Amino acid sequence: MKTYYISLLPEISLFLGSLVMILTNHFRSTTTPKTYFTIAKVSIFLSLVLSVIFYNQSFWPEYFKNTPYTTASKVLMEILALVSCYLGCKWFLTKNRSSLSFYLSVTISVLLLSLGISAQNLLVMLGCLDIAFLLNIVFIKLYPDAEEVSPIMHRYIMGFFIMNIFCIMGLYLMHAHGIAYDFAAAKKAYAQITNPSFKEYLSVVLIIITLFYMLGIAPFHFWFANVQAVSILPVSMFLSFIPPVAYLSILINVLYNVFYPLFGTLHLFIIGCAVLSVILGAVGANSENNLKKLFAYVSLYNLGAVLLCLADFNAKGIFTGFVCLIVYILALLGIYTVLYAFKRKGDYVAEIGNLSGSSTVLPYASASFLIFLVSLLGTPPMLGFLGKLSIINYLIVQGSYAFIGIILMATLLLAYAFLKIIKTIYFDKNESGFDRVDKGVYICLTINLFLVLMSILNPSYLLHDAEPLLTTVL
Amino acid sequence: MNTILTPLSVLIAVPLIGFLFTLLAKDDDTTAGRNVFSVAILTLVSNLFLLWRIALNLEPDQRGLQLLETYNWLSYPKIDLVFGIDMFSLLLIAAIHISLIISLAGIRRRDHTKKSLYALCLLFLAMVNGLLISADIYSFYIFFEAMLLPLFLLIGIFGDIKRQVIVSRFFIYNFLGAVFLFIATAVLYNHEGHSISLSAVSRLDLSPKLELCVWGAIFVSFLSRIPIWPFHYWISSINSAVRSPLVFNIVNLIPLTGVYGFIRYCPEAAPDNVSYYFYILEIIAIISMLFIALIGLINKDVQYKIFSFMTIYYIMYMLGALLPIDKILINIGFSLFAFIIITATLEMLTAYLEDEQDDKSIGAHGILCRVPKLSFVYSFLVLAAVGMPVSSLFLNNFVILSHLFGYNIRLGILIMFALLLVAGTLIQELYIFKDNSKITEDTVCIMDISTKMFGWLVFLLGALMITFINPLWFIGG
Repeated sequence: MKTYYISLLPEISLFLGSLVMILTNHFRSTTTPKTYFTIAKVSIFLSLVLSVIFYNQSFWPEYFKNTPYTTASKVLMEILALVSCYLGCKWFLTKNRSSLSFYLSVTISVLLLSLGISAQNLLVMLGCLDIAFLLNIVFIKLYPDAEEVSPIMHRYIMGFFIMNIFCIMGLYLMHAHGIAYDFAAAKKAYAQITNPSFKEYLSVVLIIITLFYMLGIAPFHFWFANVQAVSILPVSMFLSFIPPVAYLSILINVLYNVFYPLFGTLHLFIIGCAVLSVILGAVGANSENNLKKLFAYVSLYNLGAVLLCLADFNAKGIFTGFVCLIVYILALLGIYTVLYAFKRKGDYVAEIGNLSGSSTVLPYASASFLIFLVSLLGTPPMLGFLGKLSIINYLIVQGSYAFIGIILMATLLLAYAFLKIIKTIYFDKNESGFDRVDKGVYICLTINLFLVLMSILNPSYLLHDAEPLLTTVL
Repeated sequence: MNTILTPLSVLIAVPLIGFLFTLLAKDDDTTAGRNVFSVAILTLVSNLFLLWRIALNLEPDQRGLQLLETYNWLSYPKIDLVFGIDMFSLLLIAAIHISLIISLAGIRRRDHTKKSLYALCLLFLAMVNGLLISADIYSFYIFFEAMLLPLFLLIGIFGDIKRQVIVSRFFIYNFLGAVFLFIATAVLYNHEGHSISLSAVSRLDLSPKLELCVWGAIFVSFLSRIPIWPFHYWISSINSAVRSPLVFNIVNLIPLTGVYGFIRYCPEAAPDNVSYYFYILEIIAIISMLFIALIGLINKDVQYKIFSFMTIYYIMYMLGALLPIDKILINIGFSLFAFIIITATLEMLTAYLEDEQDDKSIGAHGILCRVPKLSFVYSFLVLAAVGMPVSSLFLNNFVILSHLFGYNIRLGILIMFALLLVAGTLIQELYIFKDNSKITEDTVCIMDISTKMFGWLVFLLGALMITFINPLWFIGG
């Protein structure tokens, strides 16, 4: 029993971190952005270490169960949260703004998402995710222009309520058909249904739609790009990595461990959404000049590609999806790190046009940006090629030639969008100078570049033991 | 990885190390680009020395790639990158290195040379070396696509192209070609369940439908690199717009990658199912040759004339490579060796003439009249380019053409006609440069090349003349 309590330590660490932040704000007269960053950093790092130590221990196995798969997801999410927090601190220091709301929301969000990843009950899982999703409102309201953010906030809240209604309807329909919310029981119940009725299908689709909406998968993606466009850089970075990793991990868990018996019909629905995401992501990226919005569409494209692999419900699909996800995360992480380097008179660059001539003033940051862009495009010899190779190879094995065509055509479109950025950085003349880049940003960039270069020379560094670890979800 | 730093890996590694050194080298007003220039030249010369050592270990008469190296790259999907070399690849790599040394010497006096130019040039070289020593389909594809990025940056930053939109389109268009090769590579890999050596591709047992799709993709990807209709526009628009001799020479290596792809993928004969479509390709190739030769003849831009000359020769090499005769390949290799060096030198000197014309605000007529050293070298190179018996180009082109005549006499005649047209183009230009009818005592003259440069160029011409007698003189073959 003692072990069970101890296995709650990762979550306790995050909870205590949040509590300490509130108490610090209440009792300490002078705080800097670094104060809250330090608390958040310590609590998330502790949670990460404890998650690894108690990787297969569960406090309440009926509701929250830890497996190597959930631990891997949490570790990935927490590493990304640490990087986001570290770079976010640079923004708050530059702008001299209070970082309490940001770090408090990050810690609580990581706690909720962590619980959601371990959840073994649909009601508990969706509850955690709902609160985490609602918490994004704090992020959106963090320092942007009020006029600009107001309509987006209203749409976000409206969308949240509509999705909740869908979710509740789905859960109600499940309950009405006597299907329990517990993962194992629900899977067993679905497996016993020989001819599922329309309502049974509907219940499942409504729940998946909720997850897709939170993940920002097309056609439920509209909130994501808009929120990214108005958010400050630390928030934009956080929203690009931490929730998607958690939601994707949960989605895989739910698809394989709850809805697997309805594979036939779900497959088509997931494929449809994945293909739409790939196309809309590539098209959307071409229509944007706002860098954060552009990369939000790039995320949509990549999430679509990952989903395309997961739609077949097999171990190779999960592995391929994981490879694509890791490759995409590493490249996008690099992109966001570079965005911290591009600063003019204290303002972080938001539009493509403002990057003009940066190659002459900031050659290292510009070259890194180029490497990460090319990696996102999947061009050899960059790491992104590994993702493209994995997915195309997997689709050929599955005989899905039409999807190969769609993905490669979308890559061409994406290339055109990226060329616009490269052209501005390298070919256009410099209009005005850039600010000096923080050393910490350069250190992050160098580590990321090292990872990208080492991984392409020997991909086993990155993917060592990934397949057996991922298959523990099955 | 089975072995590290074996000779072939070093061929790729040396330019990459040079690339890093170039980026780290001090480059300001005091150094005036000397550091980066020295690093670049040292890199190229080191690789040439390494090539010579490799050449001594090669069996010139042995068929297939030699000194094979395998690199266990990926476990799922299981992909091993295999490298190998033969005399044909070696000649091309050596020619590219020599042409880059010539081009670097040519741009040194230009004021806008920056270290990124040298760095990108070395990065491109590493990728081209990788392509030319690839022995399996995946490593070939990786380098086939990887060379596009440094190429794009070189053209965009240093090509002095006014309409930058054509640079982006050029990239997208080449990227599309690479995508086709990627599809073909991935399909072939999955069909066999393992990576395939380049020479084995044409012997694979595929269903007729699959064979047609795969070979269609392979052909489109290689043709996209050669300025042949309907793929000619973007390459020609870039080639005629680029003003830097180094970038021009690098851009003109792109068709070489297409021709090389044909040579490696169909070393003896393409599958019967595909050979049927060769007739269409031959017709398109001939029309493109005649079309480009005629435009070259009437166009007044020297740059375009050199581009049309190079294009026509590349198409001829492509048609030669598609002949079902294995022995012709080494002739293509010998011919390409001289061809790449001659055109690079010619372009370097043409850029020099254009710069001098701009500086002195004079026309092209009689520009070579009072510069004996430059006039001698330029005339020699033009004569060598049009097929005079002064380099390995003459004899080997003769062999290639005789095989083309033997294969199809009408095809041979039309190719011959295109070659004569393009030879006329270059001689016409030489005539204008040497026309002294409008030269008077007061006419402003350009500056002749330095004695040191002349000495180096005479040495190069001497080496070219030796290749006429014995193409493999450097290994005593």
